[in-house]
Amino acid sequence: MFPNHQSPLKEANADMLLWSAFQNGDRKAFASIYQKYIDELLSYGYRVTSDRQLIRDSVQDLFLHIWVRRGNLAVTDSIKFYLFRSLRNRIIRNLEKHPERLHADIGMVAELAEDSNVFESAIFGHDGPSDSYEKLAEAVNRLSPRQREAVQLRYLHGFSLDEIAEMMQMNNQSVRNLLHRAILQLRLFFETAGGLLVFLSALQNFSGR
Amino acid sequence: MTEKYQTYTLADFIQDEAFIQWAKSPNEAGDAFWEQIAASYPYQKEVIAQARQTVLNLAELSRPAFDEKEAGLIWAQISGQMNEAPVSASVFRLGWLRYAAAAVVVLLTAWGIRHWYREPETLYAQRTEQLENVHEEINETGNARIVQLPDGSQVTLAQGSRISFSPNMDGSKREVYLSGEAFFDVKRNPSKPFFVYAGELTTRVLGTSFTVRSFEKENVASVQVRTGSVSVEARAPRKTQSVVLAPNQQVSFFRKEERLSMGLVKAPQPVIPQAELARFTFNNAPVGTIFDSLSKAYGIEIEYDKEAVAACRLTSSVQEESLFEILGVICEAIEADYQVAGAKIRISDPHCN
Repeated sequence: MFPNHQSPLKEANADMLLWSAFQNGDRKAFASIYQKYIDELLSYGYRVTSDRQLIRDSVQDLFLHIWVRRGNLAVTDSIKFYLFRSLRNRIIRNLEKHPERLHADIGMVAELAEDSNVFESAIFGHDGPSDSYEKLAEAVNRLSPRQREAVQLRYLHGFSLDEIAEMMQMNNQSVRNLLHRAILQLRLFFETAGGLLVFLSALQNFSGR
Repeated sequence: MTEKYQTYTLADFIQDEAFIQWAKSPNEAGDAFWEQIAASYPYQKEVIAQARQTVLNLAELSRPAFDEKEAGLIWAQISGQMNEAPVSASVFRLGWLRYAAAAVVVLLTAWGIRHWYREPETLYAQRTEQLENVHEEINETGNARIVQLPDGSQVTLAQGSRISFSPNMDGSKREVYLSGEAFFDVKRNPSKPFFVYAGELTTRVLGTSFTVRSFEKENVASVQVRTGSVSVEARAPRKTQSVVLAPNQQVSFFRKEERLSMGLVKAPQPVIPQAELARFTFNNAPVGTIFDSLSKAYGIEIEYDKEAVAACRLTSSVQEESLFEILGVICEAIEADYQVAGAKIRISDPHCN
């Protein structure tokens, strides 16, 4: 459903051709770029802020900006990364312009949930969903906003640690830690109840390292 | 290199770059590699399978719900503003781009064509979806259907067409959204202009009657004016153009070419009462006078060379013939031809004795 990474080289070449055509003013190339990445950009936008109008404005600003400035943009081999990073920066900038909108949003929010006892409550809650997929869903919802952003960039959008680091303005090791903590929090929900014990014992080694 | 995988837990697998890539987009090389790992460490087989499913679950679960219509709405905004935005000069003029361009054409066919040809289809949907309180009439019958609008105007909706409007029309404008073809008889109200949005065409009137035709699958959309004057704007990705139409004039918009073309309707109707037209009798009258009278009766400019027709006189009367039938009769008599050129009619030089 999303562009695949089957062959990153081919993908990069296709992107470069598309980008050059767009830089030369080809409207169809521009429309293709939009069409190709808009769904992913929107789902990422919704992760960064819940303000729908702000996402809309930011996406529109971003595409109009690159259309107008197309002659002066650098050559890129990853349009997707370029667009994601630009959209995030734009949303953050727009949020800063509208401080009243800040409270609900990620990146601005102190990472309250990160060290909380979410983990315990998830384990010991008895009346939660029984299906393991639903349990995982619930656990994902309990991640901190930054953890969820990193998980989404990694697993949904398929970015590398370096790319995520650049986007979220962190260093590579911090992203690694952020994701690692998220996975630790989620680990109980990876498996069905039957596999749980085996998995837990394996985890003890894992956590002890 | 592969030894590390013998002690990998599920959590390790799902943090492994190569593993994530393969789980998200499996390919033959990846399949072979991970099958090899599973064969070397059979106890990892189940872990690998679960880890793979977990990567996919995490991808799905981390995706926020969003409104799928959003992409189209935003694009409509962007493409509307692209034309206004100043264009900066491109600095890339490399020779190899010619080859790149050829490759891009192939790559873009699917996306590009799908996009550009889909857009007009969704304009009606995009616009009406945004309206809060909207009434829609769809004509699925085989015949035209009459729809009364809240402001007293009347719409004759052609088959296969649909129209949306606010049930009370209480804003400062009267706005109607059309997909397909309809004849509008608009009640005059100078303080509340009447707008018809149909694909790229926006038609603005105060009180008049006209037909709008904009079927999404057709390349040509048009507006034909019966009475009054009508302004039409065509807003397309590359440019926005506008014209003002008089009675019996029509404008055609060619979607692919984004070209507006003025012309005359197929069957011009007199702008004076039919009864008055029926009283037109010409008795050995100069042909120039006849052309001038017809021009006034239909509100259409008729061009001819005064000197060339000076010698021509004709006796004739108008019964129920159409304008073009009348012109045909006259031209035959004076050995001339008429031609519709844009929104005018041009008469070639006659041969009168």
